[in-house]
Order: sequence, then structure tokens, then C-alpha cells
Amino acid sequence: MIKTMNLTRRFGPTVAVDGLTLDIPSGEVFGFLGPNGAGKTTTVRMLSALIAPTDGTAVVNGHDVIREPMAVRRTVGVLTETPGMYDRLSAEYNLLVYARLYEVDDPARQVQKYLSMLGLWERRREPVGGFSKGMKQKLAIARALIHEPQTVFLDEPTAALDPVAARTVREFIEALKTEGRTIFLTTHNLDEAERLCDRIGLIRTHLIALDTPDALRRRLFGQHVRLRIANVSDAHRQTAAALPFVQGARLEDGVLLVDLKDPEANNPALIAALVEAGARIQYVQPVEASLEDVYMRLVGAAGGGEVQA
Amino acid sequence: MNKIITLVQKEWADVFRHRYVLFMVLFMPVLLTVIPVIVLGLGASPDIITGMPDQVPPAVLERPPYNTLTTEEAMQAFIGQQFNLFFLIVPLAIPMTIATYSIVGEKRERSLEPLLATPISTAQLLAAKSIAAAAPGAIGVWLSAAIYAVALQFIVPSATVREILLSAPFLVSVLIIAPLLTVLATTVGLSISSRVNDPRVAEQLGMVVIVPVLALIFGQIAGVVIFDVTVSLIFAAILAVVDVGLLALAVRLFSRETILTRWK
Repeated sequence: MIKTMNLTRRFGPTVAVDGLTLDIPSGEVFGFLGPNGAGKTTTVRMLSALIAPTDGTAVVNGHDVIREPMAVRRTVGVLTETPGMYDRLSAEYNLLVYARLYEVDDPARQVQKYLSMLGLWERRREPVGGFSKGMKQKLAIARALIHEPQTVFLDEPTAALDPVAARTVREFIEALKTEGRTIFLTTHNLDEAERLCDRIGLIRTHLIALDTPDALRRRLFGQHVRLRIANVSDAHRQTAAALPFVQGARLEDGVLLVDLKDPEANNPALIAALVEAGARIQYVQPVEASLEDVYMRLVGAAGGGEVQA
Repeated sequence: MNKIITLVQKEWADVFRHRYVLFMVLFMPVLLTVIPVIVLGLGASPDIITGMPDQVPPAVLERPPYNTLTTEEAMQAFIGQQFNLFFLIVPLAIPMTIATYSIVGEKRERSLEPLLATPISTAQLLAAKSIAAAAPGAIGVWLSAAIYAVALQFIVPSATVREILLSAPFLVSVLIIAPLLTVLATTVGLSISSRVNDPRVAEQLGMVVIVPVLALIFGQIAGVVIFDVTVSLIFAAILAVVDVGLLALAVRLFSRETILTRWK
């Protein structure tokens, strides 16, 4: 569980994070998106009690990040931007060190659990320096989970990984979802965010949007239906546009694009009206904006005012 | 305490995998023990080592118990006293090497942030880094000094010369000054490493701390300084004050914020 209120961090005259207010319940996978330098890593560092906020408050797993930083660190796991393993030490020893620092009850058993789970048990005695990027990243994820934290911060977990390794990591994150942990996922991979996250926050120093991916799409791009009509004409466009629930209609490459409220409820009436107007409808297709469209519109807009649900 | 032990073990497991660090830790004490034992065993003739004075300064010869020794014995005692100060290089060089390789290694591998995300205090981290760097230096000089003291019983026939070589200044330097020097080297090493990304550069910059010891050695060879009990205690007191100041600086450098946002 993460709650922040007006969380702010300045570095001298530079404002890295400005008035961030979030409420992320337990068990949610929260995607935190934004361009480079938007304040994502600074936010993760504040929420994992690594650096203190300049203003505002943050409570993570019931502990205040300013007053109880040690308690926060005990209950969170952090996957940093780079794996940050000790390359000359074995995979097993790397994890054992962290298991002991987190005061895990049975460090050896816990290390075995995660190395096995991530397919690294057979190579446990090898120095990490010889591992591939994907293996190092998996090991870093194991390190972030070794103490079974309630909340996990994953800072670009699939960045710089090949597609196969990225897929393995994504599948592992999906498995974590089922364990009821709160996952705070920072990523530039919008497809990944869409697939994994329950809600998404877009930041550019301040929060510019916060909602589910679907809601963001609907709010910014409305809901469209694409109709291919064999004998399409402007009369059909005018018929559609005249309907009370239709917000806009246009012809594009011989296809009628209709922007309407609540397509599930209103599509039958739209189709009936067009058929009545002589349209020979070949197919009807919902059109959804991608999360990339949402991202580009929000982050691309200079300054980007807050668009909160 | 368990966390500090875990970190110290990790430090040693990691840093001693550097061949250079391992070489320094093993080679330096052996070298600085073997050379004086060989030189004194061969009678401390000025022909053996270039750069050493060919006669004992008259000011030294006039002082007791030098004035009771034969010329050869006086030379052996005088040369041996110079070597006694060379032992002080061990508690400077070893911690400096370990500290610089440890911190720069962490910076290069970007392993500090995950470490700082664990429930350890920065005081525990600093303590672990300091112990990991300082302890081998202190142990190295103590082992070397012990072996040297035993060897003297066999290679120096004169009981008076042995007493001169193993007198109070030697004990003060090994038991008090050496540990203080490990703290000096460690804190300087940690501080420099926070700003430098090459362990060799950090080590070379840090080796400036050897200058006071070298000044003492050359001052004594020239007869300008006599490393007696008074001088050794003054030296120890100055070192203690400097150490306190450097420790305060290290504590400031070892805040999470500073490490994450200012260490480059």
C-alpha cells in the first residue's frame, strides 16, 4: 500500500518531483510512466526511503518514509535501474548477503527458493560477472524479493533485455501479481505497462494523468467504431452524425469512423439507422487508441495539465 | 552487529578477488618484515642498502645507551630503528588499497543503491567498510612486528641493541600509531573514492597520507628527528585528532542522499 500527499523533491533550484499525490492499494500493479528526467527514479527513491522528500508525505505499507525509513526498507523490495550485483561473487553468495541484511529467517532456503524459481539454481556457484544481462536481471529481481516484501519497486525491469529474457521477466511479474503484492512498475515499455498494470500514472515532474489504461484511452480519444460500408457515401456520415449519442463522424479512406458514447449500448441503434438509410454494412469494428497514443498526447503536450480520474 | 559482520565478510570475499589487492595485503607485510630481518641479520653494513647513512650521526652516538655500544652494534641499532618506522607503511598502504577498490568497485558495479535500500544504517555501512579496510592493515602490521621481534632474538646478538629496537617507541608505533594510521588511510581512501572512478587513481591520490611517515623516516635518518617516546606520543596524539576530523567527514559523506546524488 502506498499513499503520498503532495510529495515533492527539489535538488537545489531544480524541482524533480512536484506535489505528487497517489493512493495505491495493496495488490495493485501500478505503472509509473514518463520521459527521462521526469522524476520516476526520484519518486522510487523517496518511496523506498532512500532519499527524503523536500515537502509532502508518503506512507508505504503503513510506515512513514520520513519517520520510519528503516521499517519502510524492511517491507519493500527495490529493483534498481541497473542490476548492481557483485560480479566477482557467486549468484548464491550475492543473494545470501542480502538475505542476511534483511534478517530473513532461513537465508539458505530462501536463496534456494528464488534461484530455483528463476532457473538459476544450477549456476548458483558461478560468478555473476559471467552471467548474461537477462540472468543478472533475474538475479536482481530475486534479490528484491528475497525478504518477501509487501511492496516491490521495479525500475525498468525489462530495459536492455532481449525479447526472450524480457518475456521471462514479464511472466515473473505477472506471477507476482497473483501473490497479492503491491507492484510499482517504472517502465518505458508501454505495451508492457498496458499488459501488466491495473492503473497507470503519467509523470512529468508533476502527475499529469492517473487512471486505468482503458479509462485514459476513453477519456482522451473517446470511443470509436469503424464501419465498412459497401456503398458508403456522405449521406451515411450525415445519418450517423445526426444521432444523439454520436459525438462525431467522418469518412476516412472509404471507411466511416464514428465517435460515440457507450458503443456497447448504442451500436445496435447506429447500425439500424445506417441500414435504414440504405447502407450495406460489411463489418463493424471497435477502434481503440493505444497507450502509446495516450502517452504521446499527454507527455508530448507542453506542461501537460493534470488529467486525473 | 550481524549486519556489519555480513558486510565485512562480503567486502573481503569481493575485494580479495582482485589479484592486486590480494598481492598488496600479502606482499607488503612480508616485504617490510623480510628486508629488515635480512639487513640486520647481515650486520646492518652500510654496503647492503644504498641510501642508508654510512655512519651513525654523532648526536645519536652521544646518547645512552648508544654510548655503551660498539661501532657495529650502534650501526645495527640505528639502521634497525629506521626500519621500525617502515612498519608504519603497512597500516597505511593496505587499508588505502582495500578502501579504494571497495568503494570504486561498488560505484562501478552500481551496487550501492540496492545495498542502501536494505534496512542497514549508514553508520553500519561505514563501520563495515572501515573495519574491512582497516583490520587487515592492523593485523598485517601486528603480525609483521611479532615476527620481526622474534627474529631479532636470533639475528641480533646484543641484548642492548634488541632493547633499543623493541623499546617503548616501537611499541607505541605498532600498538597505538599503527591502528590510528589504519583509520587515517581508511577515511582518506573512502573520501577520495567517493569522487574518483578509477581505483588506481584513488589509491595514488590517497597515498599522500604516507608523506608524514616518510618525513618521520627521513627526519630520523638525517638526525633531525629522534623517534623517542615523546615524539611517538605527540605523533599519536596528532593522528588521533586528525582521525576524529576525518571520521566526521566520512560520516557526512556516508549519508544515503550524498551517496546517491553526489557520488560520481
